[in-house]
Amino acid sequence: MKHILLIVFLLMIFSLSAETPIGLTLRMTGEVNLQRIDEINSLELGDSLFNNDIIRTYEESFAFLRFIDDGATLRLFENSILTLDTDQDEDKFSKTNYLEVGRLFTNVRENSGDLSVETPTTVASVKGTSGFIVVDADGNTTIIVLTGLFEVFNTISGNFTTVTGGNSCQSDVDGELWTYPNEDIDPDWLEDIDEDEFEDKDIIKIEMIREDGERRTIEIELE
Amino acid sequence: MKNFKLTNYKFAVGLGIFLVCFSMFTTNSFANEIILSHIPPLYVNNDRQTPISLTIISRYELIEKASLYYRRIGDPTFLQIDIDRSEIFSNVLAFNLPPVDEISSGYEYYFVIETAERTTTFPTRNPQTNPIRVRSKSPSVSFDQNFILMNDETVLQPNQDLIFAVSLFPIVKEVDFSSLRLFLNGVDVTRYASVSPPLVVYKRDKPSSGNYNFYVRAIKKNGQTIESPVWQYQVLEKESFTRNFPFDMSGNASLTTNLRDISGSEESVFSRTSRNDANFRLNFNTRRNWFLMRSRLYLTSYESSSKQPQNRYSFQFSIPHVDIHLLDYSPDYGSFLLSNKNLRGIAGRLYTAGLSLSAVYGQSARALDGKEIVVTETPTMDFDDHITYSKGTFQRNTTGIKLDIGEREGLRIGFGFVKVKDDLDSLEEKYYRIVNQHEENDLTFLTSPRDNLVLGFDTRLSLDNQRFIVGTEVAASIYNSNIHEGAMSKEELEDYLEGESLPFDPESLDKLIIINQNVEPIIPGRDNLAFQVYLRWFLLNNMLNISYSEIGASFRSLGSPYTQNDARVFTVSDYINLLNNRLSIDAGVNIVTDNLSEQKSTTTTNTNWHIQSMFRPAANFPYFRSGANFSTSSNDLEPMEHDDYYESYFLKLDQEMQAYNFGIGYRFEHFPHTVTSVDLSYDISEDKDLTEARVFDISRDSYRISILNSLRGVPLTTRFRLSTSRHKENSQPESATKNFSTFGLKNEYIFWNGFLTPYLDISLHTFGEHNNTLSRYDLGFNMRPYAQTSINTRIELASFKDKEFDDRDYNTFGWHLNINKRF
Repeated sequence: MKHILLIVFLLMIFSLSAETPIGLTLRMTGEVNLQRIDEINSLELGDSLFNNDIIRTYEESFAFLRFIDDGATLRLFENSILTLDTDQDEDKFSKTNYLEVGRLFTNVRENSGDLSVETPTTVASVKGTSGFIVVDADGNTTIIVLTGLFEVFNTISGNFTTVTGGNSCQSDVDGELWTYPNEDIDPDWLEDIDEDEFEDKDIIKIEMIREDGERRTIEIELE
Repeated sequence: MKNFKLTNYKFAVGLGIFLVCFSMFTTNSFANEIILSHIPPLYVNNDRQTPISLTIISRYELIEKASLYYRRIGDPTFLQIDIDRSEIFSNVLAFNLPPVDEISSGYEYYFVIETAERTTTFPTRNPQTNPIRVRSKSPSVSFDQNFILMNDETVLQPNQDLIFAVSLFPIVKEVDFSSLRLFLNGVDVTRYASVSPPLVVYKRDKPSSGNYNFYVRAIKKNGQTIESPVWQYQVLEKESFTRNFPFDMSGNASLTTNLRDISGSEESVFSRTSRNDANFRLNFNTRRNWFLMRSRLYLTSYESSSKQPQNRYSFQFSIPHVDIHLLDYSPDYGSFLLSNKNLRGIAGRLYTAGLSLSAVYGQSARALDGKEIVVTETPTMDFDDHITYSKGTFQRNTTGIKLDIGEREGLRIGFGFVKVKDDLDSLEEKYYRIVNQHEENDLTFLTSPRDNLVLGFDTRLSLDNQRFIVGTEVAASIYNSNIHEGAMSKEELEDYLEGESLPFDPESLDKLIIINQNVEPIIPGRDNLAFQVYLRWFLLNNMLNISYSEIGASFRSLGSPYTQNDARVFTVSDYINLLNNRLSIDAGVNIVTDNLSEQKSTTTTNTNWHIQSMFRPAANFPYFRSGANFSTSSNDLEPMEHDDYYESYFLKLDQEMQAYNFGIGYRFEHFPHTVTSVDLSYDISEDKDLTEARVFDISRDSYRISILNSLRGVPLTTRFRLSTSRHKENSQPESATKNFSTFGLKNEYIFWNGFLTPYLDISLHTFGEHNNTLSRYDLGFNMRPYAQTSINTRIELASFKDKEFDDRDYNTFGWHLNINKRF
């Protein structure tokens, strides 16, 4: 029996060590915890992230994550709980995340792997977009789309809708699902996210290669 | 006693030779220092030019010309790219290295910056033999677009952690991650990074301000080497008042303290003597547009009102065409006029193209009172009890003016004079003159006030971009060793000269120089002249130096005190590089002869030959060095001709010294996990007195081995050293051979990228006839807690054991601390 347990333990260790990271913590502030299997530690800057990692932010805290395929970034705001999960299919990297409560900002590059965010009541598929996903303590979900397109599915009622940039969607525990134009977004929310996370700006990018091979990019933003 | 005289004389001659050479070949220029900075490229390109740049940190506007000397590795000759003054618009000078062909392995290069005052190179030491070497990029290395930069926040605030992360997700299955290397500013920092496929993550907590350039290199499973672009991160400087100050500021501050306690038995020579000292240095520079200010402050615990100043306060202000120096300054008006002398006063220089006028006025010595001495009667001396005084020091004032006409590149002529005079009113009479207690008219001067005037003329011709320089310096001096009585009248002086008629009135010249019976020379001639000619020529990898000087017996220059008069000095030296810089040879001869005026009873000649070589066959081969040094000192005294045979027996000088050294070294990189450098050397010398007296005949030989070991992957360095030498006095066969041995071991470990480096240094010495021992233990650390700040401290314990006399044993404890901050 002891030998069997030892073998199982070693296999678990081996499997864990063989697992590859799926993302990286690039910025954070305040108190943020990382739960991995049953172990909870403070999340540190530069920590690699693995499947099924649970990130929890507390008061006046946030964490900024990027996936290894550079296909998407997530900004988890204060008092939020997020579970990460990914799946690789050939060269596509599908990211499925579960937002239990709190507020999340997503930014997804076009033609990268799918990104979907599940909440207690909703599944939102993010298609080359940026937007907020907010889940209250009851599980009611609000999706605020800034750019691009979200596909929203209410898991209670089975209702489905698409939400385009400039619109919001409410999906609640009663199965109701409706969209409406964006109301006044809290200015603090907008200040929290970087300007360059809006991909839909009119920007001309010119890439140059220096004589030593170093690459530089000039970005011209058109007003 | 006579042995002491001979030894003392020998020491004086040797010191005089050293001082002559030192005064002739050292320069002491404080102003207009050019500071350079350069980061070599990671490699040179095969298919296109490689840009390189040199940053001038200070005074770039003084640059007359900037040159890049480069050659392919293996070529004997450097090619040159020049940038003229008219093409310099900023403090960053840009050059381009041509594409390197497939055959060559890269380039070697160095920079030369020329101003009106000096020439500065980068690297600063031996750039021709130790140029910067950059390899060509391996043709198999190709850039790959599949490196994904994870953190694109490339401008960081102060106190913000730096995260550099790269994902190789698109090619994760193609890359051999064990071959992955991460480079930061050209340095492999892979061991400090976390590699977890497909991620490479490097983190540095609160890095210091500056630029951080990263790139990643890896080998694919198909053998291809790939490389990422170079990404630059910039960490901003902290907000401080200096950033908002309208002037650019830079400098550094350093505090050093040394505490020493020595303890031993009551009979020990070193019983209970403690020495503590501290000093503080502050260098502060500021500039804005055309205005520059530089200051140097040095405060030391050795400063005392009863000694000459040890503290230094230096201020320099510069605007176009004008330099002003306040307080402490060491002007250089030439070898004979004014050099290597600190003055506390004011100095200035007006200059334009082809013309420069310099002037200085200050104190070279401050007045110091003597000490009171109570003299009591003794049975053997018939004195009444009384008080006397030791000699003091007069305040010495120096005035100098120098005019230079011409350009540094080309012909330049200079005229100047320096007057140095002691202030008679600065010292009470009791501190410089005493009266014989029994004879009132018997006066003895403890020290006398002096006056000195030196006129000088120099020329310098520079050709072929200063590869050929020839120059001359001529000076004449008038020196008065005692001006206490003032100038003599014309009649008095003619009477003193026994009827010689003078064409001038000495009293009318007393503002220029005090002329009385103490002046030297009274009749000017060759004896009060000094001249020097020199040649420096860089030709076909040879650095040739030839110089000849004669300094008359009566030549005195209080402004250049290290010149030895009544001497003739001839020096030839050559430094040559052969075999594509693999072999360097330094050889020369120096001959010093005194008694130029033939007034002495003997003429002493000192001759020194030296040759030193270094041979490095190839990068992965051992290096070899060898050298020889011969010197002779002799005078022309024939003992049998002297009246006092026994006295002349010991005045005869005929000494010879021969020394040879050999060395070999090699850097072993073949061992796993470690890099080891080994150096072996052997020295042998013989020092003998060739006269009949045979005062000494000493043989020495010594062996040294040094091993430096660094671990790969672990920042631990170990240095081991072992040396042993034997001294044998052959003129005294009964004397035993003295052995000297040293064993040393030093370990240091680098924590957190150099934030903290503790070290332990143990050295054990045995020496002397009875194998006395000295054990020393140093425990310390170097720390860099903040940007451009370092703290170095160590505790030093030493123990001396005398095997023959136990009461001479002693122990020492020392604590040393240095804090340095650059800003």
